[in-house]
Amino acid sequence: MNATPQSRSEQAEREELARLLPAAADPDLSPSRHLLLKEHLMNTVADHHRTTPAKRPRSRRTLALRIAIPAGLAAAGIAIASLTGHPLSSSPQASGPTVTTGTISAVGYTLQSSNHLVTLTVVNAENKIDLAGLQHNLDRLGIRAHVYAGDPGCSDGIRAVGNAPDLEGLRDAPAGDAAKSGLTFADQGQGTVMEVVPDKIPAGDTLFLYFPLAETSPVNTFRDWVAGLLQGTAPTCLPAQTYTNPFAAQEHQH
Amino acid sequence: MDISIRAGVRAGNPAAFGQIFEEHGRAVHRYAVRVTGDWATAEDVVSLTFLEAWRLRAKVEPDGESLRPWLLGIATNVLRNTRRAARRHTNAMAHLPLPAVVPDFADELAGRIADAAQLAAAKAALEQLRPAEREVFALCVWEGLDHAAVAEALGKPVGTIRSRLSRARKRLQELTEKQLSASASAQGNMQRRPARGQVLDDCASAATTLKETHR
Repeated sequence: MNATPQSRSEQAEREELARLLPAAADPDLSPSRHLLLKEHLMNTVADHHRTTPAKRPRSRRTLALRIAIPAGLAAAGIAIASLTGHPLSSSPQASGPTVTTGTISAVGYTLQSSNHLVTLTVVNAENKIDLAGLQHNLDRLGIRAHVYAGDPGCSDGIRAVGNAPDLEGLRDAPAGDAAKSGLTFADQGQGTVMEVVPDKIPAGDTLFLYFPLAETSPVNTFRDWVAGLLQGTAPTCLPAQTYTNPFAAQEHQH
Repeated sequence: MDISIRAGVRAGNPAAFGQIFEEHGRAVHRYAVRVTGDWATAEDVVSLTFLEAWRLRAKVEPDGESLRPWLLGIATNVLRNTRRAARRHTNAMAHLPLPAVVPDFADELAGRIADAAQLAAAKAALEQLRPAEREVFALCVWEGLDHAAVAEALGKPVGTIRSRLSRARKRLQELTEKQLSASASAQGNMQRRPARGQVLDDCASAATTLKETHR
């Protein structure tokens, strides 16, 4: 805002009025509730997208659009790739207009989306990964996903099993169609790569990314993470785990 | 940037809706908690506001700045008649996550108890105003919108906003005078002004902030 005489007088008026009432506190929406409410909105929007086009009769005009839109998206993908310096392969048969095309690079990870495939590469290096930012970027790409940082205060009845980030106690999940949605996971030396085809995620399922060390040992977030599909209502939180350096004893000896 | 967001919202792009929820969801929630004094109701108001935003997306002006005034205007309508808004979105609201009765963390719970006393005091004072003046006061003073943005939110001319604020000020000053004289005769001059953001004892002591302000 520019400090024009008008804005200054409005500010003064606001301050004067504020003094006439008790301060109104600063209530905040907790991150877990924020995520749940957002997910509810996004599911409603996605439901609308799934049901609306089916009601429309197909015509020559819609056929022309079906061809033109993927070409436009492919062009947008090339433009974004050239800006970020990451080459993208464009697909002329692309569909699924809700998923945006592009590459996003952030500290600790790269997120790449073509019209069919989303690739997340978490770099094998000590970084404090901004998981809220990752959630935001997945949202920007139009992917229905839920990013969890392992929460030390999580008391949702869900337990981590052993040292691996497997989970026990999820109400409806994990869903059984992870393979059908093209979800793969591979360690490729420089980083761990997850691939998923968002269009193939079954209706009602949500992709989840779980980083159990993110809160307890942020720089080691990259060491342990999993992805899968959740059915039904996603849990508000998932438990944290602690990182134990397996070579700590040897390092002390040298 | 907001022009492209506006275009995305008008086009019903899910990513654009995700982004406006990220950017403004908390502001809508804060506004709803302050006006209702109730966290669970406020969460319903947030959901209904964004469902209404989805329904009304074609009405977004193609050009303009932040969409916050538009969203707070929708929230104001939802707050005026939450049941009517809920009826419009019966199916979607049936899938709404159950409200968190108890916050996740002890710190959050303690903060919420402190906020509750402060909010109750502010809400009780705000209720001394007429509904139209309340809305303008809350949007302008608590949410920090300027006159033009409040006018956009409420779909009223800027002149109307100014006159409502002026009436609100006059009314609050009259109440202050009354409380000053009542308080002076009953308690003398021993009350102290609680600092902003502190836990207030109760509505009555919070209202005594009016007294100290004018010395």
